[in-house]
Amino acid sequence: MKAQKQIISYRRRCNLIGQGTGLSHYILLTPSAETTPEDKSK
Amino acid sequence: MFANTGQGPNFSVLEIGDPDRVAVIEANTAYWALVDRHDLPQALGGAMVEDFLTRAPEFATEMAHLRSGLQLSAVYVNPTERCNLNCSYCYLPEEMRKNGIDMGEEKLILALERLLQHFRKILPEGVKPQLIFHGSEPMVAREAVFAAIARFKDDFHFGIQTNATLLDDTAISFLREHHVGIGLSLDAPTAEVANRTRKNWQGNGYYDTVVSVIKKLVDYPALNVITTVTQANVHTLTEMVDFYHGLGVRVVMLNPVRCTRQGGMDLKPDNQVLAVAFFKALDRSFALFAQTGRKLVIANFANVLAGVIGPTGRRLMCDISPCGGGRCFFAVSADGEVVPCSEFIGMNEFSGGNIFRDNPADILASKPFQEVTDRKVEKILPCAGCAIRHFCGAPCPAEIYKVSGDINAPSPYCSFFEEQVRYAFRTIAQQREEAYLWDSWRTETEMSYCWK
Repeated sequence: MKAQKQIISYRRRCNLIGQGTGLSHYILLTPSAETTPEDKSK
Repeated sequence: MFANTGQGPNFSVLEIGDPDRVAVIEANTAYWALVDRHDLPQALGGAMVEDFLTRAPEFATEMAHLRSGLQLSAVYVNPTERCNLNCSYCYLPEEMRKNGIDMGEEKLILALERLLQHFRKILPEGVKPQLIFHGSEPMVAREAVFAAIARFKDDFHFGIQTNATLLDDTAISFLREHHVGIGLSLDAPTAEVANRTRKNWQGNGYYDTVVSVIKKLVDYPALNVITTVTQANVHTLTEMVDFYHGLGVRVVMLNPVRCTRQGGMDLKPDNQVLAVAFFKALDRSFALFAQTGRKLVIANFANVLAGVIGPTGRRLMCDISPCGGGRCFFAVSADGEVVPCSEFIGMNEFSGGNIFRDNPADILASKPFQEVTDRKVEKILPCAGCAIRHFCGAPCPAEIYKVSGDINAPSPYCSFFEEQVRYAFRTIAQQREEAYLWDSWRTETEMSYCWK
């Protein structure tokens, strides 16, 4: 007999709400390039 | 306690095409659980119902905030009405694109100053609003745009959506130096198909130019590419994924053409044909990720998936009702008229005021804006009874207004959205979310609920 699959249910919450990032667009997913490859290496 | 009777919650059961599981959804709170299809009686009358009820108020509060509690944090500005291209499906009026006006540097700077004053009143200190130059083609007004970016570089996060044909090396260097997000447009992996829809007023395409610019920018972290999906290119989407991945592009949008004008309506792909091609492209992006460890995010699907995983985890505000137009963002046309979204440019009945005359707060509260921000799936049939109404949002009001003459009508892409949500649930059932979502999604969100 096939074993029953466990329920999958979860929910995540944005922790940037109110920070002016995300939830404000309809075309660009990444409108800002504040972090460049050069910045990452610093 | 049982679902669907008395004080119990109303759970819908959604077939998702997975061999083992179905989705159980409480639509009002966007709650979902993937349940063994042979275990439904227990799911609809057992601990899951009790567990949901203990968390339902929190989920409802979150949905209310998402749907009516957010504030303006981005503005799309059209510095010119003109465009050097005449794409077949453009949502802007032809006469405007051909012979329209420019805002000019002085007025553009004045507009941004007025917007900044408003943002300083409403955003927390240190938080920068986002400002995206949009079109028509913003690079037609290059001098004004670059002057504004240089002047307000510390005040806004800037982005530009461009057809790439006017991005020379000097412009690319300037945009990189100022950390400007760059969105380009390309419709196919071959010149023959790409140039059918994206061409200049003489009918000549720019495939080679756009590909050349993509190659120059492919290492730039804020590059994304938009492919508008039409009857002309819907059969090339899988090749398109290979092409973008081969170039090293990280984020694309495969956006079905908006039916806001006749050109778009004429080129709209059949929903079933679109779904089949789109999911083959998603499957291909997964296979490439598995093979290479390098991801090509298809952002419009990623946003649907993110919205299912957590309603506030989405990044694009089309697929929620009310949409983000007129509340999270608005658009300023070259003559200063303010509409809820660029899709409404040219529809004067939706103007909420003029940026050079009116206060942004009054514009946001205007009647035309309220018409859009009051557009809720609960008022629309069949959306009001649809289990996935908060994963789709029945976009887009501008498109639907043009197609139906009434913004409170369902999307012409309704069945395509249904299929996207099913694919999203299959992705979750297969625990493949990571392959489709943008790299920072885990750090941008936190787990707020998990079934034990």
